[in-house]
Amino acid sequence: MADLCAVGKAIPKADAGEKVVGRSVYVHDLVLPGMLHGRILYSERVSARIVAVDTAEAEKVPGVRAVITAENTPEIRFGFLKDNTALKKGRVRQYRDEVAAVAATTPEAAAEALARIRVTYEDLPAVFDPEAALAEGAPRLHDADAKGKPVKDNRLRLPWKVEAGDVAAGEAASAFVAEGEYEAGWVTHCCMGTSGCVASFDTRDNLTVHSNTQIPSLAKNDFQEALKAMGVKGRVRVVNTAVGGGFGSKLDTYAYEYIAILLAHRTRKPVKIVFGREEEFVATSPRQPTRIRIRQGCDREGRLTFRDISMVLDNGAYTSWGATTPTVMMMPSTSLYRVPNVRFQATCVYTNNTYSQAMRGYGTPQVTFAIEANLDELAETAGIDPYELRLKNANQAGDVTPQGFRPVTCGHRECLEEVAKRLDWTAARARPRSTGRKARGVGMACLMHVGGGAKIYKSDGCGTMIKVDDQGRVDVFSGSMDIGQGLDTVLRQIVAETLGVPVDYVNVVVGDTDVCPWDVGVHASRSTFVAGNSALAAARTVRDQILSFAEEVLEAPKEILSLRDGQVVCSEDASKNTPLEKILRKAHFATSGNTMFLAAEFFEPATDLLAGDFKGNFSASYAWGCHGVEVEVDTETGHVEIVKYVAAHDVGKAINPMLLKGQIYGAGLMGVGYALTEEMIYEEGRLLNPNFRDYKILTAADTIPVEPVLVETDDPAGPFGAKGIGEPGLVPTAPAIANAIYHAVGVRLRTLPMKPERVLAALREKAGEP
Amino acid sequence: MEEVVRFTVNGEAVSVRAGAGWNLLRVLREGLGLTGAKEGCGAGECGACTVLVDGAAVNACLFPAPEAEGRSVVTIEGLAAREEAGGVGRLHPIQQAFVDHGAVQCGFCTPGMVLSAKALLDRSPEPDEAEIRTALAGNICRCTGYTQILEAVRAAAQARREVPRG
Amino acid sequence: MHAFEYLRPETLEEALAFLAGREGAVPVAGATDVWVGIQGKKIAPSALVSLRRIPGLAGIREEGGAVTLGAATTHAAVEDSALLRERLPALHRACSAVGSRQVRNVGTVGGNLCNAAPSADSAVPLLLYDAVCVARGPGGERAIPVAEFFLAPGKNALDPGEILVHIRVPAPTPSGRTYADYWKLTRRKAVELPILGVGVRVSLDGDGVVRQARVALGVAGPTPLRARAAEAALEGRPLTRETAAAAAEAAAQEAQVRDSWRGKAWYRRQMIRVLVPRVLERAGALEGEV
Repeated sequence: MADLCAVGKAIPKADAGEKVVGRSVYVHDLVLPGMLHGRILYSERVSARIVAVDTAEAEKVPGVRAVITAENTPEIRFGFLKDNTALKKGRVRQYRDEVAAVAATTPEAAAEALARIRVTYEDLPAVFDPEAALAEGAPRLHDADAKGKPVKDNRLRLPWKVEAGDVAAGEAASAFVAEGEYEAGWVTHCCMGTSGCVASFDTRDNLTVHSNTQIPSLAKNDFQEALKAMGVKGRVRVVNTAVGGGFGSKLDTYAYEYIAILLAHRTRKPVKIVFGREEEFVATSPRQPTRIRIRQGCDREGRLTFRDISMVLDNGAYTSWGATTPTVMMMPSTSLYRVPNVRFQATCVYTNNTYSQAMRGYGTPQVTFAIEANLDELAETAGIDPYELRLKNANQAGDVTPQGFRPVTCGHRECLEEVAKRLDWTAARARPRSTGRKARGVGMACLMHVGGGAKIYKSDGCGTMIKVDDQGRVDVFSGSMDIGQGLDTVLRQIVAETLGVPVDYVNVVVGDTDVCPWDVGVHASRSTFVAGNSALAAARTVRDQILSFAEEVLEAPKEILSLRDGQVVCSEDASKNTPLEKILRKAHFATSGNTMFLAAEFFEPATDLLAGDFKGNFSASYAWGCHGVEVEVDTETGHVEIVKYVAAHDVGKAINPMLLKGQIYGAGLMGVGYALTEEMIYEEGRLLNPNFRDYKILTAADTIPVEPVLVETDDPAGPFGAKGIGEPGLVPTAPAIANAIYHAVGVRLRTLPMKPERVLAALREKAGEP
Repeated sequence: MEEVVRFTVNGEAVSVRAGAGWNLLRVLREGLGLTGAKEGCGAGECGACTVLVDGAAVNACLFPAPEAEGRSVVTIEGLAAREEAGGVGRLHPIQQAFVDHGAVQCGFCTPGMVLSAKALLDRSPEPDEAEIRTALAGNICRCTGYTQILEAVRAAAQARREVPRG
Repeated sequence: MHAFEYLRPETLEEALAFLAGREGAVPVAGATDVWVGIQGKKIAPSALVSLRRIPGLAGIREEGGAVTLGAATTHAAVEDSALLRERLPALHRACSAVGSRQVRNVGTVGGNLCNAAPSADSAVPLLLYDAVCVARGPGGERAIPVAEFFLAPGKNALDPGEILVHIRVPAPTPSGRTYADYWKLTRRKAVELPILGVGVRVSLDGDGVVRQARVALGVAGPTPLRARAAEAALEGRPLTRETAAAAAEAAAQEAQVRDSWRGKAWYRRQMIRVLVPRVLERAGALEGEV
């Protein structure tokens, strides 16, 4: 692949120009004729019966066009278990529950109307701790499931369990065992562009939703279901605006979207709902909080013998993708390092807390914190250097993991070696522990992640259509979506490479369900791999069409023809080389036959559906990585400073190294926030810090010195060898830092974030101070 | 209590109605259709609404609309095609550096970030690393981890030094 | 949002007249805190009286060693002032650490004081420097020492209708070597309210004996406060690691720190013990690794 001309190049993001001049249109910027402003009234109680909702005064506010509640609208159920409704009827279970909504001609009128709605509540008991919620006699969140079947407790009936080998035998064969309990609370995406949509109906009841979703096709299905529930016969179109950040937050549909749809249908006007920042904090769904118990062991030589993980997840009051994160947490649990005997079990429990969703890493940051921090504890118990222990057990290409993964390429060992080399590991570990005010230490942690899609839905596919016009300009219609990560640019490069045209000739169209084919959504670091493969397949098909036509024009068999540098190139007779445009125009003006160059392909990774016993090969390739960090711990204040940070990733092939590094830098700092500063502080279900002052997302002043290392293993399943990289960059950050802190000062932090108070408390406890 | 505010935007005199309690951001976005400045928090904590008022970066969400009276405001829309950009349709060197260095992902913070960088380079043409970080600290970005943004600002400062301007 | 008038007087007299004539009117300079307060429905003034256009209300002047800051001097003006960096380093550092550059470009020292938050960054150094607030009201001008300016969280010593016009920092007495600095304890490096603010100023005589000491704390009580027991523990003694530690302990004891979800009382108290000596180190008064 030495002579690639588009793939492998640091090409600026396709829409960067529009974005730097402020011309990209986000949902916040969108104005449609006659558009109304929608606002939502949230519950004032965390758990209560709704006795009455009085909207009479709200309706009198000038400019108000509709006031809706569960009483005057059809019930719309949504969510993974369909246990949530757009507007809550009879009962509220969390502070973010939607009780009523208004549409008005101005934001002021909408706000005024909200203020005039009177809701009478009757408090009900509430429960905020998942383990307390499992206890006998705990207040029950739901009396019945979505189908009306009575439920007897707060445990979700989800089969999150996988076991392979013989854990008891593995434990018996262990010379050393380490165990620990690790806890990670709520953190949230903090997309700079808040959530929002504009819903509008045409006169035939067709719905258009302008949205910043990450899942245009699935959102369309969800909204179509909603129309059915409303008894509306129209069809649905989802059109994406520019998306001001995703990170998983827009992987499910939310109540506000259904409310906008209800208001738009009621008023027959476009209705816009855009969240304010506090609303974004409170009413979107954060990362799944997790309490993890882990035991793992090794034999005398340091070979891992078993790993046993169980966890309790606070599901909150309703069920979204957060409840399904165990299906992804299973993967590193069973398959990060070679461990023959593994067991994984997760319990999700309803509480009156906020409900969780997908967030970059989809559970793996939580479970990797437990696995990798505990692995250092095991190394210490066994008297083995943590790097040596990791190397000895590193995954290898050709392995079949206990869960049935079959990685064809694997850069795990190389990533470990790169980190050790760049941290000068052996010397750094040999340095005596400082007794001064500031102490330095190094630590590392690894990751495995799906790198070739993840078949957690019945299809993990993506469709692409490509048309080539008579001047060689190419339009690519992909089902996938650009949420800032650069999918728009990666697809241009793949298609330009395949068709031998300049990248500038390729236009990528995403985010319009009327135009673009189906795709399961932007998640699981799958877009470069799946949408990339889909675009590659479509480009190859259209290339074949062009060469088939050229074959006749040039009187040369297409086996010796190719497309390069804007030419049809003949490998055996250079005199036959012809500008592509000339061939295209000849076809365009041909008088007979179908001479449109137009291809459509659907790419479905050849993987197994994650279901049943949860064993199989769920991804077409796997991503590996290792992060190494040097920290300086202030032993008097508990502050942790990142001195050096190496992020080595098996990326398969860097299609665009600049954008790829952008993912690593961005995920790295997000991971540092997760490790050290970010936490949503809830008190009996109420979020105390719904703003950037008190929710400590890191600033430019906090930028860490990340050194990305790209390990290219050239995966045969990937487009040009590429694997996914969107999520991996934050997966091992917290355990790498925890391990470095331990090395520096000898305290083991098992709760995130590792904020100064916690670090100092641990230091004082170790020193025997009160 | 609606009032008319007269000021200069991107070199052009404007006269625009502002409702009671409006901030400059709303005047720019709703009154003038300049939607490049974004509302990211509405509380002066994220910088997505950054514009220049008399050359200084301010959060337009915290800037009372009536205070704009008689002042000169520069928004992201006014940065390209100005004298420094070298002509209509060209990007300002800071904007170009953001494009070239991969400093743009979702782009929501970008207009504010670019304007904070411009205010910095206007007052301190050769900023050190600490100055750059301090100047951009009020513009939160969730995508990039800032590394490539800092690279872009360093490159733009460097480019200024290499092409002295009269 | 609730309706209010926005008034832009051109003179101080006009501003005073506006305040006198409207109940519930609030004077504002940068308006950053007040604006957020209104948006968040925490306050509902009938009118905002902007002080931005009043000549002479902003600016930094030095006369005979004393420094006068106009109340409407922005934090950015302090940040960019070579004079203050040199003469009032603790104030310079504190103002440079307020919010973001965007906030510092409009937020003012006077506003920061009048807001009377326990966390007000500029309050701690002004306590160190024995600054005096000068207010103008219908009855004329009066001086209020900064140490008497804060009455309770959000409550300052101004009478209704009074405007803070400037802040006077007297020439340092006694003369001799003076060291001062302010430490803002935060979780991230910018755009923060302090978890704790610690300021120390010492004047040493030729023998290294502390002639005068000021120790001031933010977020260690209902208002920014002076830690007088800590000052007493320093004055008249040679400045050593031991006397600094004794002063730190005294400050930790007299601080009225609270448990909150932003920071636990034990942690704040312990940080006072840690940071008092560190401030002296960073100011150059004590040897040590900062």
